[in-house]
Amino acid sequence: MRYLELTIENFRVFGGEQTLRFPEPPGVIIVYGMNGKGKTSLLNAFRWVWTGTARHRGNRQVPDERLINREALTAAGTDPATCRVHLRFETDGVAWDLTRTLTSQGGSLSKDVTLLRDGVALTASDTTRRLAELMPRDIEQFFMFDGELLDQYEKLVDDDAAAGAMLRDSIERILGVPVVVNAERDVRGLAESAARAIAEAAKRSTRTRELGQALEQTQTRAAAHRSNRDAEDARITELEAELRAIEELQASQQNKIELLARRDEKRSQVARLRQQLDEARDRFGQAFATSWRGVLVEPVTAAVDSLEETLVEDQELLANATVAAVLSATYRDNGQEACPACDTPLDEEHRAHLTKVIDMEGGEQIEVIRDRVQTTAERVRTLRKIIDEQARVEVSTHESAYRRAQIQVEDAAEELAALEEQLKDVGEGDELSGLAARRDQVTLALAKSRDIRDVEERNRAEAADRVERLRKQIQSTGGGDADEATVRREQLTRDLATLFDRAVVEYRDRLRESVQESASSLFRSMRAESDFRKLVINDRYGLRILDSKGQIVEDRSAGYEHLVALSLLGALQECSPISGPIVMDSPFGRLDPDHVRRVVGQLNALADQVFLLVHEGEIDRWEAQDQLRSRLLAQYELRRLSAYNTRIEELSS
Amino acid sequence: MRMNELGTLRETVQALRERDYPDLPTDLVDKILDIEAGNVEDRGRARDLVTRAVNDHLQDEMSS
Repeated sequence: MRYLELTIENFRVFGGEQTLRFPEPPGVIIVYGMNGKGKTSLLNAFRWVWTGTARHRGNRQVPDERLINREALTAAGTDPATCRVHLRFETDGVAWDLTRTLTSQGGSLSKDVTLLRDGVALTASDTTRRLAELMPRDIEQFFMFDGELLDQYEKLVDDDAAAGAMLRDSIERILGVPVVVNAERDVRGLAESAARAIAEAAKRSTRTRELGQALEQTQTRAAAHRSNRDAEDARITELEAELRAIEELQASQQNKIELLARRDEKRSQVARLRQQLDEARDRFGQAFATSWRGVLVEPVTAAVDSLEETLVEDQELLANATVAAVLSATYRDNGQEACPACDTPLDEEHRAHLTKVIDMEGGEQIEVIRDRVQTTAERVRTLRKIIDEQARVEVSTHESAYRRAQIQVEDAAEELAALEEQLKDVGEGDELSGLAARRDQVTLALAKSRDIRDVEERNRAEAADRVERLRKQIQSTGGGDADEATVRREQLTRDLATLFDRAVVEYRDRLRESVQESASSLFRSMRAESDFRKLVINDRYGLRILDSKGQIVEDRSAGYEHLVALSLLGALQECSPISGPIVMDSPFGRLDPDHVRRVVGQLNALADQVFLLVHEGEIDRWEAQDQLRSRLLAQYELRRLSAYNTRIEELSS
Repeated sequence: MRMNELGTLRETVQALRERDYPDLPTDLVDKILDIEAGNVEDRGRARDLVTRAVNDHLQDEMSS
């Protein structure tokens, strides 16, 4: 199977119609998006088109009424609002078009799914049957998953986890075990009916009548025990499903607590940022009010320069005049007989010249010059203030600070809205304590059911042994009144049932061995720790790491848990008769950069077509490009236009 | 993505048949596996087809 094109219209955060076309050769397609930008919604677009179900992290189902894009729903008003996902894909040369739509009008929802094979629409029942064949419900999790599913694989090594038991069944489903299990049940049914015909024939003969009656009674008893055992099996399946749902609810409640904490923190951040925005707005407003001064800077600077020159000159004049005044006073005091500076006696010619000069420089001129200096200095100070304030008031700086604050507030408010949205989706739910009590009850009921099932199976096996002994006795006494066809049918169906019974056990063993080998090989190519030699599998397909001394690594890190889970997923694809594209949402959260690089290098070992939904913190865009080279078919980025609208944009390589 | 490649499953059943049940007809065993593989979602129909396959085989065996 290969995906060709995905069209999303008004689904979750994707407003309007958006189409992604996938290049033909096998390879990897990466979609980058920060948290809350729509990666899980994109994974859900794939899930929903196949199964009609979208899930949150924590595996809770997204209510149908929340699937239609919020903005589209608001814009539609009382008119119908529709979301649609269309997937084009091909299998062995057959072209398929799968479209799922959901329409909301007047509070009621209507759903529709259509499947076209080579352009021809299938009937509703054929569509259901084909979808179940193309993507069986309980195995879709191996083709579309997130980091949380990888966490679940840890439960495969935990004998008590219900999720582990459910996952084991799903793994057997993808590996094709039900084919041989169903065959065994069908031929077992035929064998029992053939054996009843032998009992009937034995009752008809006087020699074997009593043996025939005993055989019939024992067969009835064996059938009753088998029926009880099957009923108990069904009850165990139900209880395991309930236990798994409780475990998921517990995880989801835990998730809700974390979400509430993140929401409160985000609310405080938004309030803090809004206050900063107000302050930035005030500063910008003030700067803007005096921004007219900017146009005066040049002429005022020129005027200041000129006035400063005048001021310097006047200050020099003032200094000279002041000195002259002092000299003049001294000259007058000494009766104009000697030089006021050096006290040398003066002749008539020098006395006349000095009197003239002192009269010119001193006197009332000092006050005039001082006033002029003060006035000029004052003017210079006033004008310089205009220039200096203008230098401080950088309007553009305040404006960009204000815009930056606006963006920060918008981003934080969007993140807050996304968190509020997630909290709405999580719903009220049960309290953790109530869930723990219910979990205990179901665990007890499950243990009881398993005991009853074991008892019924033991009784059935004993009855079956007795049936076998009676059958042989009847045979040794001539076989009663059975004709050749009845005898042959009984032999044939009994042998077939035993064959398939043994095949189930042997097939499971072989599969486990193949999965172990394949997963170990993948693990070795992805792990950095060379001491970790291989993986060993248990009955539930749980994998443990074996070190070079053959010891099981007990305390493996969270990152290695994911590495083991990814190895298992790759092995399941390799060993399964079913294969197809894999869509992974944030699978590298627990891995360090070195292991991310190693896993990225092995992506094509997981499947021919791999869709990776990640944020750039998980995987470096340029490094991925460098590492995958021609195997990197396309890169997209999720760009959020608003809290309820994300665009998928292709990135140029 | 149909289960159209039974691979290891067929090999397993075949190996068991050859080793422990050489009298069991290969065609019939293969047919049962194909029926099961092709109708995994419809158990009732699969059971009817398995019954018919065994009946047809016995009829052929008796008439030959």
